[in-house]
Amino acid sequence: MMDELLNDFVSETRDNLEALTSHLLDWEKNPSDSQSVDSIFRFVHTVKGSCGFLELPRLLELSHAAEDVMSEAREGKILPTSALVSTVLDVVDQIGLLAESIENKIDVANNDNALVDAMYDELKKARITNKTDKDSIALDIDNIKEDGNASNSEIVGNDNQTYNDINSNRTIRVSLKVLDNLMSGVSDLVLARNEVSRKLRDVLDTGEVDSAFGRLSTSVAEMRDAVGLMRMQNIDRLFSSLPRLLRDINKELNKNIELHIDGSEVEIDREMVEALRDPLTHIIRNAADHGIESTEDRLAAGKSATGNIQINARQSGNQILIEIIDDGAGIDINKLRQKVIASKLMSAAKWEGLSEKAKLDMIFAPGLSTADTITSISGRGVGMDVVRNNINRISGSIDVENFEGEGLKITLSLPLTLSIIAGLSIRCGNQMFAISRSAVQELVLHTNKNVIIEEIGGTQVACIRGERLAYIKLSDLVAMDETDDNLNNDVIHNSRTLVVIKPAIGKNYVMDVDAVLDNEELVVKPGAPLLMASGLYAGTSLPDNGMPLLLLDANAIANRIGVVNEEEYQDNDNENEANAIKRKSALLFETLDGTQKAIRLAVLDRLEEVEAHKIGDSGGIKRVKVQDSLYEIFGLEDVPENGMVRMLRLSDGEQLKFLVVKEVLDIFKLDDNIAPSRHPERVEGVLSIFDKQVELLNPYQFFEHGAAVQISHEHKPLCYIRSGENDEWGNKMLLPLLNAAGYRVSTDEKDAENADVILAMDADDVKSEEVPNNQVNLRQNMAANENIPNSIYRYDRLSLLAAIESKISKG
Amino acid sequence: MEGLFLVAKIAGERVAIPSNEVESVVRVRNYVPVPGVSPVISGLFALRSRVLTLIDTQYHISGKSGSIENGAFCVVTEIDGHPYGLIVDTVEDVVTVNEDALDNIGFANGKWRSLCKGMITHDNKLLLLLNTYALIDIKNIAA
Repeated sequence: MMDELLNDFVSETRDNLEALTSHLLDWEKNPSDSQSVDSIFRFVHTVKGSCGFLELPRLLELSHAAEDVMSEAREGKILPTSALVSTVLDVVDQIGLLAESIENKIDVANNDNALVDAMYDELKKARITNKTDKDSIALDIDNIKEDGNASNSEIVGNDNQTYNDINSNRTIRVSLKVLDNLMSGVSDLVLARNEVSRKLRDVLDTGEVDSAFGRLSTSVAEMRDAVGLMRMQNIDRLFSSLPRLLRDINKELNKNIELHIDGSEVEIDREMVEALRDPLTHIIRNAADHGIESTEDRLAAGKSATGNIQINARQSGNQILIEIIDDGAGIDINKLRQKVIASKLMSAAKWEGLSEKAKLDMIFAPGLSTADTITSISGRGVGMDVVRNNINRISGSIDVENFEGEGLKITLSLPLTLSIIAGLSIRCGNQMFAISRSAVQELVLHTNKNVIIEEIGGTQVACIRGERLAYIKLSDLVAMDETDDNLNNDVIHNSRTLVVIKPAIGKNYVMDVDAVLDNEELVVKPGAPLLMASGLYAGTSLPDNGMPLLLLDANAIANRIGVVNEEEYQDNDNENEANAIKRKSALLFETLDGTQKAIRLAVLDRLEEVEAHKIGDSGGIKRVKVQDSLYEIFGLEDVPENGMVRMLRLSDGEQLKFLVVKEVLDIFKLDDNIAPSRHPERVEGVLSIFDKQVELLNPYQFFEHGAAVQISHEHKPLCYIRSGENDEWGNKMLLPLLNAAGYRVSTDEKDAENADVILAMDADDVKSEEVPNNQVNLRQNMAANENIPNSIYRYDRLSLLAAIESKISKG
Repeated sequence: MEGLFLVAKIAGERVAIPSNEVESVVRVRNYVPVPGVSPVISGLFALRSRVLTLIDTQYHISGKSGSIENGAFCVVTEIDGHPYGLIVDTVEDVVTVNEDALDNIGFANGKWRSLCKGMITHDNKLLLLLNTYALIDIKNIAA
């Protein structure tokens, strides 16, 4: 009974503390904020009440002292100084630590008295400062008192409010064990359903049973989804500790940095919250310490005195993106170069050969810190390499964009949940394996002409499109007899696939498997220690067929075959090589009507699968919604009702377009043997691939249309419509047209001076008046009007746009 | 206080497994072999939504990995949060043993020594008291 009460007390205190942090900071910023004061008072009061009952003397003493201070603050006897707030924070921290120690049984050093004394000292000072200005403040105090009273009654109101809120969104505390039991129960249910479904198929006449089973099946699926949601938690839990973190940093570094958080409503797996805490803390410390300059430097650079760190979280497809953007100095590439060379990570010559991105990636190299001085905030020997490893460990990735002198943007891409991964199932002999799809870079058929397996010094090396990679047969790796199944050797040979794997650290390598079978969503179960000790497996999974599946660990295998031990950052060279290859290669794919076509790899971003309902056909153009924008798609006759549509994402560096494909077949090197085509604007030429004639598409055709309508400008030019009496046409017809063409439009006379172009609709006799250089005159009738020379008929869209463009380019 | 034990046979010897360590006894069907790991692991077996790691107990004694026949007995136990299936020759009975009979009579010799906590008597016959943790302890298993 007592234990139960204690546990409740600990978790309640923990929850309250989390909610309290922001109030403490609000209070410091705005000492007369009675709401914050009340929240803090209530917290220490609650703790005091509970621990008197639970016989926790240290907690009682601390909370009692804090309550004293807060009640004086509440009554308006003191105006809190920053030092006082700090001491109160320390006491609250100690309360948190002690509460945790009840649960984890780790003793907390007893410096309670010192903390309490410090707090009382500050309390006295706060009182004295108030008294020195007695006369003028007396009034204030009265006011505050009144405020206090007023807010007291308000609190009652607030309490009712919260009570109502609670009623509308009620929660209860459930132990994790119960949740886990429920989850595994539901998994059992799903497996049992699948078995029943298999058995049903064997029985011939199942009419009525079928429909009943269908209902059962749907509700089981719904239940699985609901249970999945229970694991999710608001990302706010992760963010709630950050304001406090930044406050402490500000204090310590004597900087002034503001934190802005957006997207607190995103839900993520509860285990992910814990896994992200350290990396995120580290990134923010780095940003505050190394990124954001001192106030003087900021002012000298023409920036606001206050530094800013912006955190955005959002869900994109089955990923969570967290961006951390600071407006500091960014990464000084020259300084980075010196550090890299000084730490002997690579030679100066090698550095020069790196791409910009590869240079930037060096911040993730182990043993590198770009800070000149070691401060207590960062530079504790834990670098960005650890951050990246931590993120990789939860199957996420980290990306850096550097704006030298202006700031740094770090993007973390994370899977929605830790326990479900997108996997590829692989067959080797009679054995099934799976591997995480995020580790797989490419699949190449053994029969592909661009693949050569070379044998040298008793080992084998794969050569794919001229790039040499470490090669391992899965059957050798797991010491299996692959000739288990030699009945059908030909079939096996034809489906043999090379899986190009990109481990988190080290070089890519190739794994040779009998066949790659399918994409599957897999629930990862941790493997027994004996299983993990092999250095091959990341765990197990139980797919719907009920036969356990082994998950291969791409990183551990990399370790085992030794691609990690070689000089780690060599792969940046490979990246350059890969880019060189990319320029001269093309992708072979099958269109929806079944013909094979090719397109140059250079314009290709990646392959995406999109749900059919995200595709729309309107305005004569088929578009797909990706994240929040619409993009034009090609190669699709009819929009399918449901299912997934596979498409290639094409980019000309600015615009994105999508090309629908049925299947991606291969990547091959382009040589000079390209036969000419009759329509070079659509088909660049004809290739012979595996004795088949294949058209090489000209990517130009996909981008030319978009450009005609949407004129790209660095900043959108402003058009002012001077409509006179005829303003309806301007608003109804002209404004949408101009908007669609990518201009800003105004009908406000004040904008006339700033406008890049003036569209005059009221010009009926401009011979006499002086026409500004940037004015375009419109006329209402098709026939030319001699009173308005050089005017344009208002429904002649192309001439109108051309005239606007020419004015802008002249201006 | 009395102790409840499951009596099973491993490599021909009668062993006792404390009943609080035993979740259930099931027959193995359609297990999946695991290549490339210690031969102590004879495979994976799905028991409802859980994946059991099957332990070839007799390998500990004989040093030879035996094949699992369809329908072989396995004792389901959970150690450190991971579910295991200990493959045994047969399962005989669940018996009650008085605590005084738990006294260490002596230690087994050879391979058994590391796998037993001692001996107990039941019905005037000796049983080896199995240390289930030793069966899956990495330190105990030469790769």
